[in-house]
Amino acid sequence: MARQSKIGVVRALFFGLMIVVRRPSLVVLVWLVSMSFALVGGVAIESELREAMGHSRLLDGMRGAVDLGLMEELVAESDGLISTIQPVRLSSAAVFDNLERWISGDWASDHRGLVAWGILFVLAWVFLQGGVVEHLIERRRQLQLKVFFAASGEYFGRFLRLSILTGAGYYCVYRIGKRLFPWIERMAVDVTEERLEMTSYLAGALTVMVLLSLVHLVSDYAKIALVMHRRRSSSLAAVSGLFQVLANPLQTFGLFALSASLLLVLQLFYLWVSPGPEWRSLAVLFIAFLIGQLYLMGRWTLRLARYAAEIQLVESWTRVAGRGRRET
Amino acid sequence: MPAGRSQEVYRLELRGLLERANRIVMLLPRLFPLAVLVVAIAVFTSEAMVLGQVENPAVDPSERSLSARNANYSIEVRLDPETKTLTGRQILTWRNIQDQPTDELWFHLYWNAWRNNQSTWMSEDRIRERSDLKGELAEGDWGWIEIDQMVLLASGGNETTDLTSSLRFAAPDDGNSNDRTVVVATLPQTVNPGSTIQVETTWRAKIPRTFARTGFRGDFFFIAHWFPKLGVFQGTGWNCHQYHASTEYFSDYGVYDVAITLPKGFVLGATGRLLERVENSDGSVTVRHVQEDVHAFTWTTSPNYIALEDRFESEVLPDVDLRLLIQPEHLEQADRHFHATKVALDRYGQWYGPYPYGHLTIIDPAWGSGAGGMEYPTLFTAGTRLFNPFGGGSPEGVTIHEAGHQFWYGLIGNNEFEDAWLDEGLNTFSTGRAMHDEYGDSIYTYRFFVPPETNVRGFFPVFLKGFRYSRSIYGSRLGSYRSTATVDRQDTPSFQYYPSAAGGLSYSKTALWLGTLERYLGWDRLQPAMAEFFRQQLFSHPKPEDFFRTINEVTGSDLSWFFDEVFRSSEHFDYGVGSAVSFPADPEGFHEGEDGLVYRSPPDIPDNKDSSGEIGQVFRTEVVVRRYGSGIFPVDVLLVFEDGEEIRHQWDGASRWRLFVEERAAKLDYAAVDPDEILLLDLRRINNTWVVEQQTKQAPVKWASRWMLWFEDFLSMLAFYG
Repeated sequence: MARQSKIGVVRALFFGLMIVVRRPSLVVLVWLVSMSFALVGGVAIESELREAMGHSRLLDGMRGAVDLGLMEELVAESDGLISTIQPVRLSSAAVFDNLERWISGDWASDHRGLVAWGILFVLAWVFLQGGVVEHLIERRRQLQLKVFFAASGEYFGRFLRLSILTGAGYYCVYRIGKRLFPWIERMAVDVTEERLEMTSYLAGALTVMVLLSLVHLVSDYAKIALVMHRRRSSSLAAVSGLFQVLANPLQTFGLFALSASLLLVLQLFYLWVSPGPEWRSLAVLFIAFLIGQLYLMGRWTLRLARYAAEIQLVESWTRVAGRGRRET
Repeated sequence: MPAGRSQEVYRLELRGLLERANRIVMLLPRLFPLAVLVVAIAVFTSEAMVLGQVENPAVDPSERSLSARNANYSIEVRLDPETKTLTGRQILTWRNIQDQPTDELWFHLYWNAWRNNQSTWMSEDRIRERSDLKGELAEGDWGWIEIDQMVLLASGGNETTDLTSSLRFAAPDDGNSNDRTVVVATLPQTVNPGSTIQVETTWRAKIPRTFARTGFRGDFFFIAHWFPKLGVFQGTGWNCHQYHASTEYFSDYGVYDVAITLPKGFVLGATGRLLERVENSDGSVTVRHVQEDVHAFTWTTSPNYIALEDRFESEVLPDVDLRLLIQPEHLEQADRHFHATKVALDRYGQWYGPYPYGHLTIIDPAWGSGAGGMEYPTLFTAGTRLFNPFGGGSPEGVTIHEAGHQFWYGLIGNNEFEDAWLDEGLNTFSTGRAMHDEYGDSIYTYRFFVPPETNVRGFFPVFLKGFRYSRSIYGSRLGSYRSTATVDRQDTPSFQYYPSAAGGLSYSKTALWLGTLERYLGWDRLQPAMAEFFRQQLFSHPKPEDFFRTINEVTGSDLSWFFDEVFRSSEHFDYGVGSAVSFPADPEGFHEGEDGLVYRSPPDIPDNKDSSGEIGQVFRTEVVVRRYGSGIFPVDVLLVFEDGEEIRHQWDGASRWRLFVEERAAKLDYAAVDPDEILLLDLRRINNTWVVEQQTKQAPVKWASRWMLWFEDFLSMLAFYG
């Protein structure tokens, strides 16, 4: 008799990746939306920079390595988007700036315009996710924009309510983090080795990451439940998601950790191959932008693949549960 | 560097010049005028008259005195690492070297700045929002010092007198009655010029959790400015300021003979040279250090230090034994500490004068101790990090800076309460110079993983290539000056600077105006002037006017106008090109002709061809340069034309604006004010140039596209929450 068992996380992610790779239009759609949002910011800051530089000859000088003194001057004189420029954000290590801000939650205190624009993007992503999850569940169907956006519209309200719930969860986690790190600092007040104190903070960061992941996973599995089981209540879906995560901690967290590790590898690879700001030719500038976009497409691919893998997991649990019921 | 000379020729010339200067410095004690000998004889005579004077075998009486040695300390101190306390007994031998008598002694009790939250130091620390300790302080975090007894020892037929009851706290700077950082003892009789007295003091002190680089962390102790320390009697009165959050110290030179008792197993680093080490029956050890001709004594101890030794050797400078106390986790960086220290001893030694003590201790303080980056006589703290790849400028920068303070602070003992810029500014300028000379530009390093809501900086370094981190940025700190440029005049006594502006004014502004002078005069003129100031003021307490006078005399230029601008005012500098246009020079409008006024219409000529299409069209170029800032400095104005021709004008920079007009066969390409970047104090460099027709928009596109990649990734990160 063929055994019906739970699917492993590596297999699930592999299948998830296969599913997404076979649907490049889905990745392109999501990437295009995010790039469109970013493009608005890019155009705005380019305009600000031109305005700030005026007729300065330094406008040409900026084609080479970035003059930190000039950057300081520009940033000091601006309260617009230019004020958000930091060396690390113009470098290829910018992705780690965001990773760090994800752990700390500091992004919320960034430039208000950027944060507001980011929240608008999150709303857009909440909207898109209905179509994404529905399409990944009904994956034998070809991607049709009309059907996709109809699903997005259908689930938007429920996903939005769920986002408010999970938003409260994220807020609580960051509150814990804001107490946890100063607590570690107080506990380490007599530590005289950097290595030891750093390890303590890493443990703290890991705790925050696990808690953030927990909220995130509950949100993911709740969304899958909302679509897969046509649930109406976001709260009940969240409870369902929580039960699923707690009932299958190794698989849910394992899958998340695996995809996060792949993202880290992708980011390190990007850091390695992407030309830095010292390059001056237009061709290299274009290549750097292209590599950046490829990285971002890779990032979205991983995100969608994880969704697909999570759906695989849920389907396998449902199959096992169904078989179990039949056996009894 | 003068244009047209090769670097090697310049180096050889400089070396020859410096060798001559060094020989003069080395011979200086023999060349002292007769008056100094007379004073020395008077010193020995008066000291011999003192009754009950403690014999000091550590000091070789035949040794030539480099300084006045009028404030000498013999101290016995015991550290209790469990209770974080010091117990001390000291004998101060003080000679009045002024021509006025005094019947008081003023002492600093620096550690009382951290006795409670009502001291002047604490108030100022709150204003500058740079508290060393975040959050509430526990009982064991505070620090204090208490005098148990102070006795004037018998001398010249006078009886021993207990001064304890005469002690009173003073707050000469702000009248803060809660400040306990200055204490005054009233003497039973005056101390006349040339007379010497001895005062014995017993005291106790609680070591704080680190404030101002002083204190403990775990079993690490850094003990600076730790005993009742005499102020400086200046004839008109005592110069003994309260302790302030943003300024440092001031003391007379003397001989320190200090015996420190510690638990066995603790490694000690201290000012001076080791004289003896005795193991006591109670399991402790007593280590005795002695140093002549210094104005402070500092020590540090921890069981974790690893002690290493090296030696600075030079053909033109005296050898110096180097001792490094380094944290085990930084052991692989030991050579970098030694090398940077040698760079400082070499460059400063050649530029200004030799380091005379023969030994120097480098301290790598414990992680999180807050003791890094500070200077003390014959000892300094550097400070480094785990994961510290070479090229980022650390710990080399801080090591050179603090080693450099052995010259500007150690050997030149200016009043850091009043003229902090004299050591910090001159040293910051010199650090930038030495760093650039040895290491070139540093690579900008960013450290990731800053734990939120803590004072901890990031852990994991990433070199950000493609960013110019040059001497003018690292060494001069224009960014830090920009935010403080107009907050205070630099000639304001440093302790009265707005607390958060003190760094920008003392370090950055001075480094910038010295850098400006270097570019304006040339290093070959500025360096001998600074060396002469150094030579004249060795082991003394120079004032700003001494510096300005020497610079004027040696350079042969009266730079008073410059010092008025940068020192005696809070003027800020900003020159810029207001507009620049080129247009056909053909006359337009109504002009006088044979039949009266004749109207001439504007020509429609896009390039340098005349109306018949022939080359030869003349263009009129009008460039307006403006002085946006309040400060005045002569600047060049450069006009570069499309055919490559360059015209340079000199402008005294006094008026608010000036129009430069040229008629040439080519249009203007760009105009630049201060094209050689002489005026490092210029707060806005963006407006220093004006390109008539921008050839490219590539630069903003480049920055914007890179920023956009970050922003797009930021949005992807935010998707996590959706």
